[in-house]
Amino acid sequence: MKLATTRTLLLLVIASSISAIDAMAQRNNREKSDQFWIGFRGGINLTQATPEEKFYVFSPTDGNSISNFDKTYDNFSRVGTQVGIIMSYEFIDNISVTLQPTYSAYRFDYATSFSWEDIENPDSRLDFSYTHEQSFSYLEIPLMFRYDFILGQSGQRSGNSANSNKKRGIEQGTWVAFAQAGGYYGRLLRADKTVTTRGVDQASGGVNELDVIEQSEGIDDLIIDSNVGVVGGLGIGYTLGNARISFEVNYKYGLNNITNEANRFTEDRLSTGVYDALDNIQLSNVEAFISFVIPVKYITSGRFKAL
Amino acid sequence: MFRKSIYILLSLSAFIYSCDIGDNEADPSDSFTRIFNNSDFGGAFRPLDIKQTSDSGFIVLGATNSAAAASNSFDRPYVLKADRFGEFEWARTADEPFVNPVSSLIEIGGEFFFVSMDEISLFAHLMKIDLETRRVFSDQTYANITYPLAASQSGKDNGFFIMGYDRNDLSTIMNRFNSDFSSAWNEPAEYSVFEDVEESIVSHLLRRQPLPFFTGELVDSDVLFFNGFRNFNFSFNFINASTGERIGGVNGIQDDSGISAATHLGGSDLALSRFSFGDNFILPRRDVNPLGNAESSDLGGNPFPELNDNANVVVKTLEINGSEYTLYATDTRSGQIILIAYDTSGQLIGTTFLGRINPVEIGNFITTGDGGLAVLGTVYVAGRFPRITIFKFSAEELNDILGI
Repeated sequence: MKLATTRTLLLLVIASSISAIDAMAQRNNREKSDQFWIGFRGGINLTQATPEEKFYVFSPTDGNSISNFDKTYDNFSRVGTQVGIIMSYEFIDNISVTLQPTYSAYRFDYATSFSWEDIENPDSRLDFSYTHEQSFSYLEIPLMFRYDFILGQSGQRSGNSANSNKKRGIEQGTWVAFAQAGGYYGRLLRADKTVTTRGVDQASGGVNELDVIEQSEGIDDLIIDSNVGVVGGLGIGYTLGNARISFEVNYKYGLNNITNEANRFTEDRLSTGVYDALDNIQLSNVEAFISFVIPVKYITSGRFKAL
Repeated sequence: MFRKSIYILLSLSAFIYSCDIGDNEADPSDSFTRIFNNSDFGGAFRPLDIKQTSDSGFIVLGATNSAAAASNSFDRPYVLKADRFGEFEWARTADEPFVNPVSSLIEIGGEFFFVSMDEISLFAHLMKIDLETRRVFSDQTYANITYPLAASQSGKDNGFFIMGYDRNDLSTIMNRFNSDFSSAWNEPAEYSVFEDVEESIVSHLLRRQPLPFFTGELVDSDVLFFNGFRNFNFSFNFINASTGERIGGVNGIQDDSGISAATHLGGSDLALSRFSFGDNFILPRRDVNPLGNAESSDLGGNPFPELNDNANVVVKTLEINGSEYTLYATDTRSGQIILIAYDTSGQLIGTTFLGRINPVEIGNFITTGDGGLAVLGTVYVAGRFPRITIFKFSAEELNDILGI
């Protein structure tokens, strides 16, 4: 996706999220609130790498189509992890803005293969296949708006304080479903690549499976520092004592090419070693979290009474 | 509160787009590595020279023993055209009986030529590369030059020089040609070797023991030079550009020691490299009197033990932003190309290694129209199949190579 389109889309998503929540709050004439939540979260993710534009080291001279040695992406196959903290501000009843600084580790694979054969004796050939595993670590700052739906409670309480707490989903035993959407900015911390090479030599007097070779190296220079995108998701939470435990699933859609275009061919181990050049790729992720948050004002302010 | 949120978000968005995402756009023709691969198990492709074409693409002269070429013991001329992104456009292997193309590509009137040999008569042929019809054919036959071993173009009058070997007279022969392909001399100049070195020459042509044959000129005087056999030894010789008469030179020791590359810096200073019984020495600025006679072993130089025995060396001067630099490109024992940059005083200013895992070897290099550098080489894909490769560097990357 071109940069201008990326910018426009991101700004549109942010602006429309703000407008929608603003309109919803005004229409419902909601009670003003000013509750802070803080906590931590962790989980796993699966990654999809979408090539915007493909690049190759080999340029075939024998009429073979480039597709003969195209990269085959294996998406959503490698499990990554993430852990972070949550800072949430409920500025209108059940509507929060949340900032969630997160350390995220993403992994994805693609594969390539090449063959050479004796024109006069096609049985005499050499085949190589390469699996390229990319591992990226980002410090990400998702900024999202979240709407809570109070589903019900396992216990019963009475009084104004209890009603107010119930509306905010912070009463013991309350189930809360929520939807959230926003954008994120990721800062690259580390990028690594592991290439596994397998070969079969049928040109040296028999069929010989060559030793599997695995090489790993840092590719920080091949990846730009920034990764931005939009994120949306659903979750469910349960209030336990003063805290809320939640499970959520988000989909993140990267809006920019993360490959450093100027440095694409600068790593000779890849270009002349395994004939690889990174495509222009956008990252998308499905991520699942378990989070644990507590209301800050509930503890520190006299406005709320302890349960 | 809500307006404040909007301001924060818009500020955050502005911050995001002021960073490296906005700068992450590069012309794919600025920098790339391209390997011209094919699935031919038995074919070997050896690059000799590269020039840029009017469409900013590249024309590559090489040699091949590909199975697609006729089966003979000598390599056949191989011409490859790539676009400005380094993507393959077309290639041609010259028809019989042409073999043994020699560096360099010669550009006259926007058309490209190179010198090759008739494998039957051993005559030199000036081969023309027709970019439009994608044909490679003999344009001129020079029957008075046999066993062509080197050729280069004059930077002064667009003419060219061809060096060969006369097996009957046991002489190295050299001739100078005008840009209209006519001979500038009445007849080729001969430099007697006084012994039969045909075996060494055939061994060179078969790549069993390559020797650094080359020709060139002094940029500010009427002097040419050639590196070849003379007077029993492999030697570097200065000759009068008007008559072909030898005026001086640097003697080697048979074919075990001598000069391996040279380019003129001005006055009597040259950038040289020399080989001596397998060892290699680089002399980034060395005073050599064209009218004198010296021994190559007396020239000294910086030893480079990391280079291959009697390494193939290419040396050229580059002018970047009004300053001159000398760039060497050669092959290391670790299977890499090393680029070694010097300033005009002969001070080392940078080294860069190219290639990893699979061995690579230098073919040639040129500066490109965008201020970058194109390095032509061989990469042994899968560790065994020699294929032509181009390493293209942007102007910024070339500055890094030169350490500026």
